[in-house]
Amino acid sequence: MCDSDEALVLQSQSGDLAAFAELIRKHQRMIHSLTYRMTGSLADAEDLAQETFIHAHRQIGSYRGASKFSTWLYRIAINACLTWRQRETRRVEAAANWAETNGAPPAAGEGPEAGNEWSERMQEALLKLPAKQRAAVMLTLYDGLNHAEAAEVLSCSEATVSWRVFAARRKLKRWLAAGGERE
Amino acid sequence: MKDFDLESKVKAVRVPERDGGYWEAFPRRVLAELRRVPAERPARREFMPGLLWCGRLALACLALGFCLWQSRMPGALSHALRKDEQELRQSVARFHNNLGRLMQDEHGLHRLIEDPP
Repeated sequence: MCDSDEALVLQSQSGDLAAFAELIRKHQRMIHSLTYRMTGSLADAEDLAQETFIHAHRQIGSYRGASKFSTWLYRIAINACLTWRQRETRRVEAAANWAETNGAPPAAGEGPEAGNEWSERMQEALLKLPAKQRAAVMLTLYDGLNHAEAAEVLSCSEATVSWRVFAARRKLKRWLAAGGERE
Repeated sequence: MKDFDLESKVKAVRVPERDGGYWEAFPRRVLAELRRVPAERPARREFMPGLLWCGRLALACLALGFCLWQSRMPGALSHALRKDEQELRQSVARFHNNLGRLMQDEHGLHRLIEDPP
């Protein structure tokens, strides 16, 4: 944890909201990127980023500095995204069941909002990955965490992270190759 | 496709940019939410411990009552048994070897048929 984070965390732990706001300002872009890549939706990413910081504030008293503040924050964000994923799956299933019963078309999901075509296709492929594999890819490829750090964030072993990244890469290659052949 | 190619393509996925106003407003929105949420919590906190203590007290009373009932039961039972046994011995002693029929009702042990002496 860098010195300024340490000082801000200590101040936040004693109830200083201005210090916590400074922590938000420092880490908000990183958390927004993570939640966007996990959800593929700007609106959901924003909600989850907000949820992450609210959870962080509630639990900041339990933060003892054993890991970097950003790692600790990542863990909260990833857990929020995984929980969101479960809720979202249930919501989509419920909407599909309702539509089937009532004959209405299913509600259109919010698709990737990135600009160019290639980026959209890659984002689409990432969203097809199982949530835990996607989280492993996000942390290791985008955020540059090594497998040990990612394992700490994801509360699993290094070997599990390695396996998830390997499985995700294999799937992405297959899907992208199949997509390329169709064009 | 090689791992390196895949990684560079994955990293090329663009996260939509937001304007400066959004980043300025976001911390304020989180703080507003933090100020709003704790205000809703104390009401639940005040109610719950009272309910919890009432439940615990009721359970403790029930447990105590059950223990007392259990501890008194064997004593009362054995006292009644001893009394009946004593009455039976007295009746048997009165008939010697010519034992008649005995009946027990709410008033105690009674002789029904008495053998001729």
